[in-house]
Amino acid sequence: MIQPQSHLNVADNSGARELMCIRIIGASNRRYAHIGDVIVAVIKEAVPNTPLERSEVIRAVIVRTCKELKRENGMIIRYDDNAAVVIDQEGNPKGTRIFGAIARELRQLNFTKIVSLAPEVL
Amino acid sequence: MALSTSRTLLRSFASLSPFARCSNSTSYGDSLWSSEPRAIFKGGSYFLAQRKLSSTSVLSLGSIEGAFPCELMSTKPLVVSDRNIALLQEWKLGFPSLSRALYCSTADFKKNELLELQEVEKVLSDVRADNVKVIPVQKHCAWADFMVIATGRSTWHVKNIAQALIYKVKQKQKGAQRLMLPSVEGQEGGKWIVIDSGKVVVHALDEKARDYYSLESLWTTGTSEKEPIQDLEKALVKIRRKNNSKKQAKKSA
Repeated sequence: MIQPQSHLNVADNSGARELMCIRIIGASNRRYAHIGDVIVAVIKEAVPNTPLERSEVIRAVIVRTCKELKRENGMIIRYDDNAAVVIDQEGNPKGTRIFGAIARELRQLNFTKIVSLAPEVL
Repeated sequence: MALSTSRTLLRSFASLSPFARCSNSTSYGDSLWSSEPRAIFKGGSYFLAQRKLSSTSVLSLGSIEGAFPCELMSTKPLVVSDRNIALLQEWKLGFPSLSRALYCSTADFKKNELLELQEVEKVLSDVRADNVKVIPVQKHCAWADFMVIATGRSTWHVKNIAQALIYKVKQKQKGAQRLMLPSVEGQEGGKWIVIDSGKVVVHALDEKARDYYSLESLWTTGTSEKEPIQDLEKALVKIRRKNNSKKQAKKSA
């Protein structure tokens, strides 16, 4: 359940460290974003000397949420943090590696690139 | 298409005809198994009808000639087999819709894999993709068996690689009622296109993107990552009962 003003960690090596959601892409007045949704975010904190800087507006895909993700087989997945991966307008990830576990649902939602970069897929 | 239908039909008839039952019933592949009963059922009714016809004709012959019952018995299966062949041709010519339905039922099984590895390699060599690498990744991840990485010289070339693969899938399923297409990602940009056809995932990148993401190094050096994955799987399996089981283990130890 990511809404505007939620802070998220960054799960890749793009250079951003913390994001703040400012808009959810989808319906016009959508309230919450879940795993696999694209958000517009602003970089609140960045690693020094990287292409991305603080207060830059970017797009990101949510890859982990504290809110549970339910599957049809009864499995429930809940992560410890809210995390997102920075992407560009075409959907290519800005970073080259992704950290941490990622849900399999991203593949169904056409984020195979992110899934193929991830070290493990749950 | 006609070939595949004729094959399935032949098998179904062979299973029905008494002299070939023992030889062919063991040779079914697993993939054909669940499509067989339908074919047997449909073919069976036809076969029975034809068999009745043949038996009546033979009987009438016998009633006319009257003197060769044992010869008639011996020719009967031969007559049936000839009928089978004639019937096959009838099926090919006269019932296109039925044969198509049959084809679909068999197609579903073979097209679980939309693209096979050899086909991908052939298509990639046909469109002259550079530096094609096939990496078996069954060890690293459960969601795919093979990663195929190919480089295109320009964004157009990368897009064409993707188009060629999609065209191949469409050609493969020509005549099927429902087309199954692989999920394609990044086709607008043309820097990195992923064609995800189930167990074979094809990455078509331009040279810059290939250098930038260096997917080979990610997938080939990932052998050391296997152990932490296993640990994590264990941790996930025992989410809450982990502590209890540990205490019990300590007590027992």
